Amino acid sequence: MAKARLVGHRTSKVMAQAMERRTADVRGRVFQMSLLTTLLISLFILGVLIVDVAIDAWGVLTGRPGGFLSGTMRSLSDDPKLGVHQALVGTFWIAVFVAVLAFPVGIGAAIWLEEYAPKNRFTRFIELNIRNLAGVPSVVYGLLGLFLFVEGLGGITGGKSIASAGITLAILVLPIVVITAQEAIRAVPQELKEGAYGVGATKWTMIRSQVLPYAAPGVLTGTLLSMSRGIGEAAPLLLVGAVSGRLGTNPGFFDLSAINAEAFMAMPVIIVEWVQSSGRDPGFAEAAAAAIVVLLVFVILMNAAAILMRNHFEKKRG
Amino acid sequence: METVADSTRAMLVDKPEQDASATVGLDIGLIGQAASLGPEPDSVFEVENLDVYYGSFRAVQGATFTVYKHEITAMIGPSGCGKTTVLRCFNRMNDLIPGARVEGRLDFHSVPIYDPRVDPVEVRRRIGMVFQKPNPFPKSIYDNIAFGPRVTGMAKKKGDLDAIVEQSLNRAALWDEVKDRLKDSALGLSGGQQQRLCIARAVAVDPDVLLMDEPCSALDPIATTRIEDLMQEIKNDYTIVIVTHNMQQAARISNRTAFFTAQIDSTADQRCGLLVEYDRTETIFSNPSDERTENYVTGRFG
Repeated sequence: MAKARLVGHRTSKVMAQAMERRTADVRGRVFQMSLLTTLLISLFILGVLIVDVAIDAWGVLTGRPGGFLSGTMRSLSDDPKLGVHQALVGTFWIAVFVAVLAFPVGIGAAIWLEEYAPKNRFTRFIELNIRNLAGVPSVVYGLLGLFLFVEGLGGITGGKSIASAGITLAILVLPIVVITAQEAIRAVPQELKEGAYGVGATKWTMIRSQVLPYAAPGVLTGTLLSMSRGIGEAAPLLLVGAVSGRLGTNPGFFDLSAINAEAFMAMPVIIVEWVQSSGRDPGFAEAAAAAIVVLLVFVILMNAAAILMRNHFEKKRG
Repeated sequence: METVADSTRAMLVDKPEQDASATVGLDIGLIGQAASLGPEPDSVFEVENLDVYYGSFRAVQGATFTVYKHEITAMIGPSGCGKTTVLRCFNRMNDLIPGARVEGRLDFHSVPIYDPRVDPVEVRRRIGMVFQKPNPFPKSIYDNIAFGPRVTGMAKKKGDLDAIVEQSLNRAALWDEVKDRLKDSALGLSGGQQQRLCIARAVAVDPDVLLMDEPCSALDPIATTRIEDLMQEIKNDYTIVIVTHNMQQAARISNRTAFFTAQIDSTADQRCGLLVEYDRTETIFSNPSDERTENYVTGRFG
């Protein structure tokens, strides 16, 4: 090669040669392939899990889907009345509790933190602790629920009831709701806020007319995803006393008296229960798999609702 | 003069009756001053020794000037000279920035707008603002204009609101372009149309002053010309204060020009905005009294 010169010959031929592809970008390709591999590994594991569960559940779900959904807890797996009805009712109402309690409180807290709170050490301390709370193991929330709602406020909640479980899970997802709502609210452009202030809007009008509509899709997605995660939790429910063994009552879906009745079941707990029972009665393994599928469908339906609502609000946002 | 000042005070101040006796002296002083100015038009803003701080950082130091009624006042200067900061003081938009603080006198129709009794919401309702980047709300064209009248309770009936929307869009020379699609999203408009929509949105609450923060910097030359024409048309009804980076624009449209620059603050080793010269626009551009102004307007600096 000739001596390096700052200004070389720039004829078309030289330029064309210079721009020819010579070496493959090996490192780049390797990096890209390894990224793809990590994605495939996680998808593969998820796929194996779902296929495995679906195969196990196949017999029950195709054999007697209606009976399984309307059936109750039984001591033997070949009992034709075995099913998840009590657990579905429990999980449904727990989800309602989470929605009614965690969402307004969490979104309200997020609005205050983002729009009203002074940016000082105290609020930074609060925000740091909210982030820490989001990482606290769910069992700890179960203990809190046991002492506070089952024993302390047992007179109101009915002790080991759907109400106690619902409040406990609401508190469990609350930090995540606050964090996701805060992020959505923080993403509202400053120009929109100034535009509203500029024509004489008060802070409250500005928040109601600009911040909330703009942040709604993000707030919704985040909070409903956190709820999906919350209702899959088994550990705190075991502590606040979901029934193990046989549950005598089988309330209907809209039987409100069951909410603070001293006995309830929930989907994640029934799965744990049946997996444990499969040791003495292998048929329960199938029932557990079928219950997992039912819970998955429940969560997917909830996420679908979240997506529909998000699209609705996004369309409104323009 | 007195009636304007009194009614403005009544609108802005929370408890006007308490306030009346305390400010009589101020009114008289102002009238005397106005009379001595002779042919000068009425003043809208009186700024005296204005310091603006962001936390401990002093962004503007000791600005003193007067904005006159039904004139276009331009603020020019290099980046970081504090002209936008001063503009945002006029309608207390700087209140939104944590740590922002104002010292000195800033009177709007002789009402000190940083007085604790003055409601910033009422100030902003009377001093409209148009921003650098067009910022229409993600709503329909109609709802963008109707937003201000709605939140300030100006229009009680649908018919009133329709009339305000039409008048405002007419003022902003946008009505003919959008009258058939008022229900469409404002985000579908072009950049120039969006900026005129923002002007229409600002005039919809019948402000006294329009503050414009580089309103044409995101627009092409044709859209810029339309906005400039529009400003000339509406200046008989509003007082306009505009920040611009474009010296030709300031020379073309403004009656008076304030030249700001950034200087090193020797006490804190920071750059601080400073008002160098304020005069009639033709004087600033043809015969400035300060050398720094001359260097800037002739393109030798900045």
